[in-house]
Amino acid sequence: MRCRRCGEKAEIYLKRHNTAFCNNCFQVYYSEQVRRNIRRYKMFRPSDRVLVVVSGGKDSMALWHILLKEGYNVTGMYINLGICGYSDRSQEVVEQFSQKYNAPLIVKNIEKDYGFSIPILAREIRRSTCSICGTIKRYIFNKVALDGGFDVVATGHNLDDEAATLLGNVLSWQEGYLARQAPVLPSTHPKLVKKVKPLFTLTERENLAYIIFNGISFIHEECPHALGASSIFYKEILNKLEEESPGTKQRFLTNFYKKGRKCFAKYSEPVKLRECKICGQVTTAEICSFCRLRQMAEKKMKADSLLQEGENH
Amino acid sequence: MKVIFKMPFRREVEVKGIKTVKQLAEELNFSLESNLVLRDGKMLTPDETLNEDDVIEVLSAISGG
Repeated sequence: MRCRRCGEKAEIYLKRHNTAFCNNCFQVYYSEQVRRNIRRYKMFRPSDRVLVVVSGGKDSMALWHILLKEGYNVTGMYINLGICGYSDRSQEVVEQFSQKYNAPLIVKNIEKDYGFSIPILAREIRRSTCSICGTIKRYIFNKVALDGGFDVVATGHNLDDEAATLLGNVLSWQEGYLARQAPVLPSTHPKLVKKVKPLFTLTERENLAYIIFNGISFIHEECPHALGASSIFYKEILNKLEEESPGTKQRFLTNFYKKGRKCFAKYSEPVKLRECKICGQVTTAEICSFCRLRQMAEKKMKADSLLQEGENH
Repeated sequence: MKVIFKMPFRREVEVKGIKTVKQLAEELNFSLESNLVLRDGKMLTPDETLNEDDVIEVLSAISGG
Protein backbone atom coordinates (compact mmCIF):
# COMPACT_ATOMS: atom_id res chain seq x y z
CA MET A 1 0.00 0.00 0.00
CA ARG A 2 1.04 3.56 -0.72
CA CYS A 3 0.61 6.61 1.49
CA ARG A 4 -2.40 8.60 0.35
CA ARG A 5 -0.70 11.96 0.94
CA CYS A 6 2.84 11.49 -0.38
CA GLY A 7 2.82 8.18 -2.28
CA GLU A 8 5.64 6.65 -0.20
CA LYS A 9 5.36 3.14 1.24
CA ALA A 10 2.54 3.12 3.82
CA GLU A 11 2.97 1.74 7.34
CA ILE A 12 -0.58 1.98 8.64
CA TYR A 13 -3.96 1.38 7.03
CA LEU A 14 -7.01 3.17 8.43
CA LYS A 15 -9.95 1.18 7.15
CA ARG A 16 -12.59 3.66 8.35
CA HIS A 17 -11.00 6.38 6.20
CA ASN A 18 -10.05 3.93 3.43
CA THR A 19 -6.59 5.50 3.71
CA ALA A 20 -3.03 4.38 4.30
CA PHE A 21 -0.27 6.62 5.65
CA CYS A 22 3.50 6.58 5.99
CA ASN A 23 4.97 7.57 9.38
CA ASN A 24 5.26 11.32 8.59
CA CYS A 25 1.83 11.70 7.01
CA PHE A 26 0.17 9.74 9.83
CA GLN A 27 1.61 12.28 12.26
CA VAL A 28 0.15 15.11 10.17
CA TYR A 29 -3.26 13.37 10.23
CA TYR A 30 -2.99 12.80 14.00
CA SER A 31 -2.02 16.42 14.76
CA GLU A 32 -4.84 17.74 12.54
CA GLN A 33 -7.40 15.59 14.37
CA VAL A 34 -6.22 16.85 17.78
CA ARG A 35 -6.06 20.49 16.65
CA ARG A 36 -9.52 20.28 15.09
CA ASN A 37 -11.04 18.74 18.24
CA ILE A 38 -9.48 21.39 20.48
CA ARG A 39 -10.65 24.22 18.22
CA ARG A 40 -14.10 22.92 17.23
CA TYR A 41 -15.11 22.05 20.78
CA LYS A 42 -13.39 25.12 22.31
CA MET A 43 -11.44 22.86 24.67
CA PHE A 44 -8.70 25.35 25.53
CA ARG A 45 -6.73 28.31 24.16
CA PRO A 46 -2.96 28.43 23.56
CA SER A 47 -2.52 30.58 26.67
CA ASP A 48 -4.45 28.22 28.98
CA ARG A 49 -2.68 26.08 31.58
CA VAL A 50 -3.57 22.44 30.88
CA LEU A 51 -3.26 19.62 33.41
CA VAL A 52 -2.94 16.27 31.59
CA VAL A 53 -3.85 13.24 33.67
CA VAL A 54 -1.33 10.53 32.78
CA SER A 55 -1.40 6.84 33.70
CA GLY A 56 1.64 5.63 31.76
CA GLY A 57 -0.67 3.91 29.24
CA LYS A 58 -0.56 4.61 25.49
CA ASP A 59 -3.49 7.04 25.30
CA SER A 60 -2.46 9.49 28.02
CA MET A 61 1.22 9.32 26.98
CA ALA A 62 0.21 10.09 23.37
CA LEU A 63 -1.90 13.02 24.57
CA TRP A 64 0.91 14.40 26.74
CA HIS A 65 3.34 14.12 23.82
CA ILE A 66 1.10 15.72 21.17
CA LEU A 67 0.10 18.64 23.43
CA LEU A 68 3.76 19.36 24.20
CA LYS A 69 4.59 19.07 20.49
CA GLU A 70 1.79 21.49 19.63
CA GLY A 71 3.29 23.98 22.09
CA TYR A 72 0.57 24.03 24.73
CA ASN A 73 1.32 24.97 28.34
CA VAL A 74 1.00 21.42 29.71
CA THR A 75 1.75 19.81 33.07
CA GLY A 76 1.41 16.05 33.55
CA MET A 77 -0.20 14.61 36.66
CA TYR A 78 0.30 11.04 37.77
CA ILE A 79 -1.57 9.41 40.65
CA ASN A 80 0.10 6.36 42.22
CA LEU A 81 -2.89 4.28 43.29
CA GLY A 82 -0.89 1.68 45.20
CA ILE A 83 -1.86 -1.21 42.91
CA CYS A 84 0.88 -3.74 43.58
CA GLY A 85 3.74 -3.56 41.08
CA TYR A 86 1.62 -2.04 38.33
CA SER A 87 1.51 1.45 39.91
CA ASP A 88 5.27 1.62 40.51
CA ARG A 89 6.07 0.43 36.97
CA SER A 90 3.72 3.00 35.45
CA GLN A 91 5.12 5.81 37.63
CA GLU A 92 8.61 4.98 36.36
CA VAL A 93 7.43 5.27 32.74
CA VAL A 94 5.82 8.65 33.44
CA GLU A 95 8.87 10.01 35.29
CA GLN A 96 11.21 8.91 32.50
CA PHE A 97 9.04 10.72 29.94
CA SER A 98 9.02 13.87 32.08
CA GLN A 99 12.84 13.83 32.23
CA LYS A 100 13.34 13.01 28.56
CA TYR A 101 11.05 15.78 27.30
CA ASN A 102 11.75 18.20 30.17
CA ALA A 103 8.01 18.18 30.84
CA PRO A 104 6.62 19.40 34.19
CA LEU A 105 5.04 16.61 36.25
CA ILE A 106 3.06 16.43 39.48
CA VAL A 107 3.04 13.05 41.26
CA LYS A 108 0.47 12.13 43.90
CA ASN A 109 0.62 8.96 45.96
CA ILE A 110 -2.56 7.73 47.64
CA GLU A 111 -0.78 5.75 50.37
CA LYS A 112 1.85 8.39 51.14
CA ASP A 113 -0.35 11.48 50.78
CA TYR A 114 -3.61 10.17 52.21
CA GLY A 115 -2.59 7.09 54.19
CA PHE A 116 -4.77 4.39 52.69
CA SER A 117 -4.54 1.64 50.12
CA ILE A 118 -7.24 1.31 47.42
CA PRO A 119 -7.16 -2.51 47.07
CA ILE A 120 -7.38 -2.99 50.87
CA LEU A 121 -10.12 -0.38 51.23
CA ALA A 122 -12.11 -1.97 48.38
CA ARG A 123 -11.97 -5.34 50.11
CA GLU A 124 -12.93 -3.92 53.50
CA ILE A 125 -15.95 -1.93 52.37
CA ARG A 126 -16.96 -4.43 49.66
CA ARG A 127 -16.89 -1.99 46.75
CA SER A 128 -15.22 -2.62 43.41
CA THR A 129 -11.65 -1.37 43.14
CA CYS A 130 -12.46 0.41 39.87
CA SER A 131 -15.31 2.44 41.38
CA ILE A 132 -13.16 3.57 44.35
CA CYS A 133 -10.30 4.30 41.99
CA GLY A 134 -12.59 6.46 39.81
CA THR A 135 -13.86 8.46 42.81
CA ILE A 136 -10.32 9.09 44.06
CA LYS A 137 -8.89 10.03 40.65
CA ARG A 138 -11.72 12.49 39.88
CA TYR A 139 -11.29 14.10 43.32
CA ILE A 140 -7.51 14.43 43.11
CA PHE A 141 -7.24 15.75 39.59
CA ASN A 142 -9.86 18.40 40.29
CA LYS A 143 -8.15 19.38 43.54
CA VAL A 144 -4.69 19.55 41.96
CA ALA A 145 -6.04 21.56 39.02
CA LEU A 146 -7.86 23.96 41.32
CA ASP A 147 -5.00 24.43 43.79
CA GLY A 148 -2.48 24.81 40.97
CA GLY A 149 -4.55 27.39 39.04
CA PHE A 150 -5.02 25.21 35.93
CA ASP A 151 -7.72 26.23 33.42
CA VAL A 152 -8.57 22.77 32.22
CA VAL A 153 -7.98 19.05 32.87
CA ALA A 154 -7.31 16.90 29.78
CA THR A 155 -7.67 13.12 29.71
CA GLY A 156 -6.63 10.55 27.09
CA HIS A 157 -10.13 9.14 26.46
CA ASN A 158 -10.21 7.86 22.88
CA LEU A 159 -12.90 6.94 20.34
CA ASP A 160 -13.07 3.33 21.57
CA ASP A 161 -13.45 4.42 25.22
CA GLU A 162 -16.21 6.86 24.37
CA ALA A 163 -18.06 4.50 22.00
CA ALA A 164 -17.85 1.65 24.56
CA THR A 165 -19.17 3.93 27.32
CA LEU A 166 -21.99 5.03 25.02
CA LEU A 167 -22.85 1.42 24.16
CA GLY A 168 -22.91 0.49 27.87
CA ASN A 169 -25.14 3.45 28.69
CA VAL A 170 -27.50 2.68 25.81
CA LEU A 171 -27.76 -1.00 26.75
CA SER A 172 -28.98 0.00 30.21
CA TRP A 173 -30.71 3.23 29.07
CA GLN A 174 -28.85 5.32 31.61
CA GLU A 175 -30.60 8.59 30.77
CA GLY A 176 -28.56 10.71 33.20
CA TYR A 177 -25.22 9.41 31.93
CA LEU A 178 -26.35 9.79 28.30
CA ALA A 179 -27.27 13.42 28.98
CA ARG A 180 -23.81 14.13 30.38
CA GLN A 181 -21.47 12.19 28.05
CA ALA A 182 -19.50 14.73 25.99
CA PRO A 183 -15.97 15.57 24.78
CA VAL A 184 -16.09 18.69 26.96
CA LEU A 185 -17.48 18.75 30.49
CA PRO A 186 -17.83 22.42 31.35
CA SER A 187 -17.20 23.80 34.80
CA THR A 188 -20.54 23.98 36.62
CA HIS A 189 -19.15 25.47 39.84
CA PRO A 190 -16.23 27.85 40.52
CA LYS A 191 -14.42 24.99 42.27
CA LEU A 192 -14.96 22.44 39.47
CA VAL A 193 -12.38 22.58 36.68
CA LYS A 194 -13.45 22.03 33.05
CA LYS A 195 -12.57 18.59 31.63
CA VAL A 196 -11.76 17.81 28.00
CA LYS A 197 -10.97 14.77 25.82
CA PRO A 198 -8.86 15.94 22.83
CA LEU A 199 -8.36 12.37 21.49
CA PHE A 200 -12.04 11.41 21.31
CA THR A 201 -12.00 10.98 17.51
CA LEU A 202 -8.83 8.85 17.46
CA THR A 203 -8.98 5.09 17.98
CA GLU A 204 -6.88 3.16 20.48
CA ARG A 205 -5.08 1.60 17.55
CA GLU A 206 -4.19 5.05 16.21
CA ASN A 207 -2.90 6.13 19.63
CA LEU A 208 -0.77 2.98 19.82
CA ALA A 209 0.56 3.71 16.32
CA TYR A 210 1.40 7.29 17.36
CA ILE A 211 3.31 5.94 20.38
CA ILE A 212 5.27 3.44 18.24
CA PHE A 213 6.06 5.96 15.47
CA ASN A 214 7.43 8.39 18.08
CA GLY A 215 9.31 5.78 20.14
CA ILE A 216 7.47 6.80 23.34
CA SER A 217 7.77 4.37 26.27
CA PHE A 218 4.48 3.27 27.80
CA ILE A 219 3.13 0.59 30.08
CA HIS A 220 1.56 -2.06 27.89
CA GLU A 221 0.34 -4.30 30.69
CA GLU A 222 -3.24 -3.86 31.80
CA CYS A 223 -4.20 -2.78 35.31
CA PRO A 224 -4.85 -6.16 37.01
CA HIS A 225 -8.29 -4.92 38.09
CA ALA A 226 -9.35 -4.06 34.51
CA LEU A 227 -8.95 -7.62 33.18
CA GLY A 228 -12.39 -8.91 32.21
CA ALA A 229 -13.94 -5.42 32.43
CA SER A 230 -17.18 -5.04 30.45
CA SER A 231 -15.69 -2.02 28.65
CA ILE A 232 -13.14 -4.36 26.99
CA PHE A 233 -15.93 -6.68 25.86
CA TYR A 234 -17.90 -3.73 24.40
CA LYS A 235 -14.80 -2.54 22.57
CA GLU A 236 -14.33 -5.96 20.98
CA ILE A 237 -17.98 -6.06 19.91
CA LEU A 238 -17.70 -2.57 18.40
CA ASN A 239 -14.54 -3.59 16.54
CA LYS A 240 -16.40 -6.57 15.06
CA LEU A 241 -19.04 -4.15 13.75
CA GLU A 242 -16.25 -1.85 12.55
CA GLU A 243 -14.64 -4.64 10.52
CA GLU A 244 -17.91 -5.37 8.74
CA SER A 245 -18.87 -1.73 8.36
CA PRO A 246 -15.92 0.64 8.64
CA GLY A 247 -16.72 3.97 10.31
CA THR A 248 -19.47 2.54 12.55
CA LYS A 249 -17.72 3.45 15.82
CA GLN A 250 -17.20 7.07 14.87
CA ARG A 251 -20.73 7.42 13.41
CA PHE A 252 -22.22 5.90 16.55
CA LEU A 253 -20.43 8.41 18.76
CA THR A 254 -20.45 11.60 16.72
CA ASN A 255 -24.08 11.19 15.60
CA PHE A 256 -24.99 10.67 19.24
CA TYR A 257 -23.36 14.01 20.03
CA LYS A 258 -25.08 15.67 17.07
CA LYS A 259 -28.52 14.06 17.24
CA GLY A 260 -29.00 11.72 20.19
CA ARG A 261 -27.67 13.54 23.22
CA LYS A 262 -30.18 16.40 23.11
CA CYS A 263 -33.04 13.90 23.52
CA PHE A 264 -31.74 13.17 27.03
CA ALA A 265 -31.17 16.80 28.06
CA LYS A 266 -34.15 16.80 30.42
CA TYR A 267 -32.47 14.07 32.49
CA SER A 268 -29.53 16.33 33.17
CA GLU A 269 -31.28 18.39 35.79
CA PRO A 270 -28.95 20.78 37.59
CA VAL A 271 -28.11 19.31 40.98
CA LYS A 272 -27.56 21.51 43.99
CA LEU A 273 -23.81 21.68 44.49
CA ARG A 274 -22.22 22.61 47.79
CA GLU A 275 -18.85 22.41 49.49
CA CYS A 276 -17.77 19.41 51.56
CA LYS A 277 -17.72 20.40 55.23
CA ILE A 278 -14.41 18.56 55.71
CA CYS A 279 -12.29 19.44 52.67
CA GLY A 280 -14.24 22.19 50.89
CA GLN A 281 -14.34 20.39 47.52
CA VAL A 282 -17.59 20.38 45.53
CA THR A 283 -20.16 17.70 46.34
CA THR A 284 -23.90 17.08 46.31
CA ALA A 285 -23.86 15.76 49.90
CA GLU A 286 -22.72 17.20 53.21
CA ILE A 287 -19.47 15.24 53.04
CA CYS A 288 -17.89 14.42 49.65
CA SER A 289 -17.43 10.81 48.56
CA PHE A 290 -13.62 11.09 48.87
CA CYS A 291 -13.80 12.21 52.52
CA ARG A 292 -16.34 9.46 53.22
CA LEU A 293 -13.85 6.92 51.83
CA ARG A 294 -11.11 8.43 53.99
CA GLN A 295 -13.32 8.21 57.07
CA MET A 296 -14.05 4.53 56.34
CA ALA A 297 -10.33 3.82 55.90
CA GLU A 298 -9.46 5.62 59.14
CA LYS A 299 -12.21 3.80 61.05
CA LYS A 300 -10.92 0.48 59.79
CA MET A 301 -7.30 1.32 60.70
CA LYS A 302 -8.40 2.40 64.20
CA ALA A 303 -10.32 -0.86 64.71
CA ASP A 304 -7.31 -2.86 63.50
CA SER A 305 -4.92 -1.11 65.89
CA LEU A 306 -7.32 -1.66 68.85
CA LEU A 307 -7.51 -5.32 67.91
CA GLN A 308 -3.74 -5.48 67.72
CA GLU A 309 -3.41 -3.84 71.16
CA GLY A 310 -5.90 -6.33 72.60
CA GLU A 311 -3.90 -9.26 71.23
CA ASN A 312 -0.67 -7.87 72.68
CA HIS A 313 -2.13 -7.58 76.21
CA MET B 1 7.18 -17.85 10.97
CA LYS B 2 7.01 -17.07 14.65
CA VAL B 3 4.05 -14.93 15.76
CA ILE B 4 4.27 -13.35 19.21
CA PHE B 5 1.14 -12.00 20.88
CA LYS B 6 2.13 -9.51 23.58
CA MET B 7 -1.11 -8.80 25.44
CA PRO B 8 -3.02 -9.55 27.58
CA PHE B 9 -0.80 -12.64 27.98
CA ARG B 10 2.36 -13.43 26.06
CA ARG B 11 1.81 -16.26 23.63
CA GLU B 12 3.89 -17.58 20.73
CA VAL B 13 2.53 -19.41 17.70
CA GLU B 14 4.41 -21.06 14.84
CA VAL B 15 2.75 -20.55 11.43
CA LYS B 16 3.71 -22.29 8.19
CA GLY B 17 3.78 -20.77 4.70
CA ILE B 18 4.01 -17.38 3.06
CA LYS B 19 0.98 -15.17 3.59
CA THR B 20 -0.22 -11.59 3.90
CA VAL B 21 -0.93 -9.83 7.20
CA LYS B 22 -4.66 -10.04 6.40
CA GLN B 23 -4.44 -13.80 5.81
CA LEU B 24 -2.47 -14.26 9.04
CA ALA B 25 -5.13 -12.35 11.01
CA GLU B 26 -7.85 -14.53 9.50
CA GLU B 27 -5.93 -17.74 10.17
CA LEU B 28 -5.15 -16.85 13.80
CA ASN B 29 -8.52 -15.17 14.32
CA PHE B 30 -7.40 -11.78 15.55
CA SER B 31 -8.85 -8.43 14.59
CA LEU B 32 -6.85 -5.89 12.61
CA GLU B 33 -9.07 -3.22 14.17
CA SER B 34 -7.92 -4.15 17.69
CA ASN B 35 -4.28 -4.99 16.94
CA LEU B 36 -1.16 -3.70 15.22
CA VAL B 37 1.14 -6.12 13.41
CA LEU B 38 4.88 -5.40 13.48
CA ARG B 39 8.04 -6.86 11.94
CA ASP B 40 11.40 -5.61 13.24
CA GLY B 41 9.54 -2.91 15.18
CA LYS B 42 7.85 -1.54 12.02
CA MET B 43 4.11 -1.57 11.47
CA LEU B 44 2.70 -3.48 8.54
CA THR B 45 -0.33 -2.82 6.32
CA PRO B 46 -2.76 -5.74 5.66
CA ASP B 47 -1.39 -6.42 2.15
CA GLU B 48 2.22 -6.89 3.34
CA THR B 49 3.69 -10.34 2.61
CA LEU B 50 5.14 -12.31 5.50
CA ASN B 51 7.87 -14.91 5.00
CA GLU B 52 8.64 -18.24 6.67
CA ASP B 53 11.59 -16.87 8.68
CA ASP B 54 9.88 -13.68 9.89
CA VAL B 55 9.28 -12.90 13.55
CA ILE B 56 5.97 -11.07 13.81
CA GLU B 57 4.63 -9.20 16.83
CA VAL B 58 0.93 -8.64 17.38
CA LEU B 59 0.21 -5.77 19.77
CA SER B 60 -3.26 -5.42 21.22
CA ALA B 61 -4.50 -1.83 21.27
CA ILE B 62 -7.47 -2.56 23.52
CA SER B 63 -7.29 -1.51 27.14
CA GLY B 64 -9.78 -1.32 29.95
CA GLY B 65 -10.91 1.64 32.00
